[in-house]
Amino acid sequence: MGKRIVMGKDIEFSYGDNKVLDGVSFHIDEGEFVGIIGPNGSAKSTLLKLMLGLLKPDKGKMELFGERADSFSDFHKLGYISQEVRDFNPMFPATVEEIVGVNLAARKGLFKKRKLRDDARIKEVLRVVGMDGFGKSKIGNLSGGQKQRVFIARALANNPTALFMDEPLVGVDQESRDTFYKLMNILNREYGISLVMVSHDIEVLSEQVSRTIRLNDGRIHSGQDGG
Amino acid sequence: MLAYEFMKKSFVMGILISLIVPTIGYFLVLRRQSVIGDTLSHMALSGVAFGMVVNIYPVYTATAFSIIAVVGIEALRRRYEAYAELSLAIALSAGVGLAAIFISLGNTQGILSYLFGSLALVNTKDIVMVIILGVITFSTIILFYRQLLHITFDEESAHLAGIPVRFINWLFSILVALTVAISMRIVGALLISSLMVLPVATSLLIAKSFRAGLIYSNIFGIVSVILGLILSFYLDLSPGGVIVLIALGILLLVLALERIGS
Repeated sequence: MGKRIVMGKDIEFSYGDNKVLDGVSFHIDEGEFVGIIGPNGSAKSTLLKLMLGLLKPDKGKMELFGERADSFSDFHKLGYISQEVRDFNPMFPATVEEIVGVNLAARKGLFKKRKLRDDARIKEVLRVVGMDGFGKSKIGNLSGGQKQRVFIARALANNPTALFMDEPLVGVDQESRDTFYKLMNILNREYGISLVMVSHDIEVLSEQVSRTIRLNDGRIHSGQDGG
Repeated sequence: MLAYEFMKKSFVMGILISLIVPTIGYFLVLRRQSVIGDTLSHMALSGVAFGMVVNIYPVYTATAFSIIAVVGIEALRRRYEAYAELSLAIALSAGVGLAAIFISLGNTQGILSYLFGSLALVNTKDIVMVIILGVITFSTIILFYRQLLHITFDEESAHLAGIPVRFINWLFSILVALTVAISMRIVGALLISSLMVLPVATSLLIAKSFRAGLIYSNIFGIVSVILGLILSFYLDLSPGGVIVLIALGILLLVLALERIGS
């Protein structure tokens, strides 16, 4: 068993009076590909945000890489693809290179000679996701599946240990889904990146991941090993 | 035209403003916050009126009022999380209400030139302030370019990439407040938000990258301001009005060319 990436113990969380998570405990280890599944409104995305420290639990303890999630600061270890990105404004004026490059900003000093190394890194991650040659394209002109891969490349640019994805396959066609899962398998097996993915698409995801965490009515129902 | 000292000053001021205002506007528009320019200009106007009443240089009081407004908007935004734009409407009401009261207190005859902008008003003090503002604005944009791009594009993931989102948002809000207060001298309180938005709207029609979008916004801004200043001088019209109409004309022209081209 690898190192522990996420550990949640007795997590409770409410939106106002509506308790959406009621005593949830689980863990995710290095090297796993975990799918968080459940019907709409089962607080899957909320659980993901709690893992990342974007939300704070009302009760219980959430740890990310052994640190308290809400004060976690070792950001280069994780990559995140949010739901917001999916509803990306097509008029937003940015090239693929610019979007992938934003993640490189945080860990570098301001005046280091970084341009060359960054360009090489951007090219490399675009190649990994099969989008080489698209660097200068305007992101709004790409298809849903292509955009998806660009966002994965952006998350990979920092060389993360774990990748967290919130419903990455909504609005993406079947062919792109297949490509997506192939890519995920490469990232997980060849690059050793741990993957955590939220999806309401229970059937397909269960076949692809190494383990599922099944949420319903604020509790975890029988997490199981996948195929 | 440039034989007149005040026109020289207006040109220096105008060119600097035409670089600063659309740059700030570019980030505001892309973050869907372009209305904040309007809100702050009303608040700045009440600051001008206050300065006239208490006999302090109005640009200083306008600057103070817009910075207070930015802090207030941020506090209200937290209180009304689901209706964040309400905070802008509340601040705007406060600005108009205060302005009306200060104006009625008298000694505010010069207020009209702050509403629509004026060339004759510009003095050395204003130019110094605009130069300082320009240096602060462009150093911020250059130092935090990628971070600003990341926040503009996806705030949540910017936070998870270790970017100090709150700090940069505050810094940027203060810059917006300073820009509005200092630029209203020449463009006018009622028209400042137009100069923030129109060159950017035009730029979005043709820009293929973030960098190009920023550069086009500046080019459209500078062309509007220079042509606007020249025309308003010879036709004896309000510079703010002419500048904004030229910016609008450029937008319509680009829209028409786009239509012909497609």
